[in-house]
Amino acid sequence: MKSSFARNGSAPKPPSGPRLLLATMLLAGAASMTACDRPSDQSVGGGVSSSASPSSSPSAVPVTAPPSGTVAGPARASAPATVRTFELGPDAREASSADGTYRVRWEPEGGAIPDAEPFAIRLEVVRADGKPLAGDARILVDAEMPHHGHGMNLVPVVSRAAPGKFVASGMLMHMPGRWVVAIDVEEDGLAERAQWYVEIE
Amino acid sequence: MSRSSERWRRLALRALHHACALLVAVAPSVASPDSFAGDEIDRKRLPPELAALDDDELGRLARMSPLPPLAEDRSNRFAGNADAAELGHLLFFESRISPKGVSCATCHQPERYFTDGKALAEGVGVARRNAPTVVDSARRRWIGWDGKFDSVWSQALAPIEHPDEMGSSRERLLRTVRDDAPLRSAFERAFGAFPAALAAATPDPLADRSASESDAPRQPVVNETTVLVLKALAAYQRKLASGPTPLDRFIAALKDGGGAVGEADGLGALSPAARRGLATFVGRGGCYQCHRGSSFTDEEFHALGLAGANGRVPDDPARLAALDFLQANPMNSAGSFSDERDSPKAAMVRGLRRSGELFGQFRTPALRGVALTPPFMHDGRFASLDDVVRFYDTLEGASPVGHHGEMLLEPLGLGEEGRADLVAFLRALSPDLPDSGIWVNPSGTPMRTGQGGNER
Repeated sequence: MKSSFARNGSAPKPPSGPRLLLATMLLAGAASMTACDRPSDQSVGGGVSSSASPSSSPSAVPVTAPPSGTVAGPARASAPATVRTFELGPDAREASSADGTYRVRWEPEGGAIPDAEPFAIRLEVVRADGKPLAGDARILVDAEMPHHGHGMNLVPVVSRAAPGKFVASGMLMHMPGRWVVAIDVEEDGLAERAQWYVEIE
Repeated sequence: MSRSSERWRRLALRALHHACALLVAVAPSVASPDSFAGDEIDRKRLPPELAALDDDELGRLARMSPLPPLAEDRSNRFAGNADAAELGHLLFFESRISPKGVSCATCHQPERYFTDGKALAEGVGVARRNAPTVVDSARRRWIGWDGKFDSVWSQALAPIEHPDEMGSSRERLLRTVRDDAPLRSAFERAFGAFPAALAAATPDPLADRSASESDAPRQPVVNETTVLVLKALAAYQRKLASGPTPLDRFIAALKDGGGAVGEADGLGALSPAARRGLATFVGRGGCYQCHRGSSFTDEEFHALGLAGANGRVPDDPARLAALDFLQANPMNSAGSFSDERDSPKAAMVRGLRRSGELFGQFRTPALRGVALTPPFMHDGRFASLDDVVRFYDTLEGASPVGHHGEMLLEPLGLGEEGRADLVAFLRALSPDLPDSGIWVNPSGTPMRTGQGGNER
């Protein structure tokens, strides 16, 4: 009898350490940020307006628990005090958002996704015509395992590093298998998603 | 183009994408150029039981050893303080902390690899969960079966104050330190003078109080001093680190080319049965999916569908119930008692995701030394490793809830021999036990071992 623990998906299996296989994947039409596009009410990743830093600084008083019955996630982590700008490397993953309005590129900090450890990604969003992203655009980052029906145990926090450049910290892919990384750009009441398959060994 | 027409254009495009979704859902994957840990191993040296491992499986094997250096605990500035560890050592075995004579070592006994051998921990009363080992606890991301704590020091208060465990209080804890010369001396070497506000007097500022008898003006110094003591307990437990295992010696021989198959400190460190079990672990058994890396844990949480006390479905909310407590606890890494509130761990605590899927999830236990810590699982339901492996092999008695939303767990069908091989491998994760005073009661009880070893 064979266990379904065996490898997910049909991806080829090149040698690697904690590694990823990527597909430039495409948009499963999931452009709209409606609840039905999400695996659960909780699965929306952390986000930030491209013109604002998120959330509060650490508190010296007991952390307040989320109110009962809320569907919102826990309090978001504070952004790093300063997020340096960056240039993405040649291996950065790239895809267009669903309607082609944006080009999105990203790469894990340190070059590789660590094995079951938190990490950050650096991402860059530009319009298809090369113009900079509007100041009030909102970026959300999340990842889930579609075959398992669950996402990450952390809500990523997105911080703006420069116009069109962001760092999403608090990513955690704790299981091997196929993950989908989704980056949503929300602007003028509309959102578009770019997404990729990431195969974690 | 007007904003309205732009909106319609995008909506129309979106509909088109939805229509095309099925056509593009499975895109070809592209390999990344990341390194392959398995490259460290010369395939020609693999014994016959492992010769058929594919590259993925060999990589998993290579990542099992060695253990990386222990990361610092940025929430505890005394984590590496020898004087604090000495105080912690004394307190760990100090039964006067509890009015019922229970110490940390009641449930975390050195001779049982710092467990108690019971299904459910027994202190003043019977606790809800099995007592896990504290060896290597400083390596854990979350502490407790439900991960209710994010550091060893913040966890240490819970059993002290729990009515079924030590049934004590922070006042009694501090009174014990204050009024015992060796303990007080150890405290003052580590932290300086015992707070004058808590000095013995009439009435005693550390007298037992009921919950309704708040001593608000004195509470901050009680809390701050308690946290120092907790951090001393953590400094001690940080020293309880597992030693090399037969598996470490085996993998070192594979990587370095040392030792022959017949040599106990080389490739012979693993028996043929353990080698077959290793192949199952990194391959068809799928154990590696949660028991990852050199600690054999992903440091996260999973629901196995173990039947609850009702005999049917899981009924312990576990991680789901722990999350609110963890985030609200002022003694977490992000809280006011932490020595660095902007650490990566603090960010994790703040960023934890709450969802219904956390119901019934328990922390993936690390496996180094696992054979030394029966019984097993969060409620000690399995008396032996054979029972644990039989569960995964057959899933008998499991509630059909699967793993998260998917039936990730399926019966493995290893059979009796395959199960025995897997157990032999798990026994090869038993570390050498140090001949160190830190592993024994300061009053001098040597450590002994009853189980484990590398069965052949």
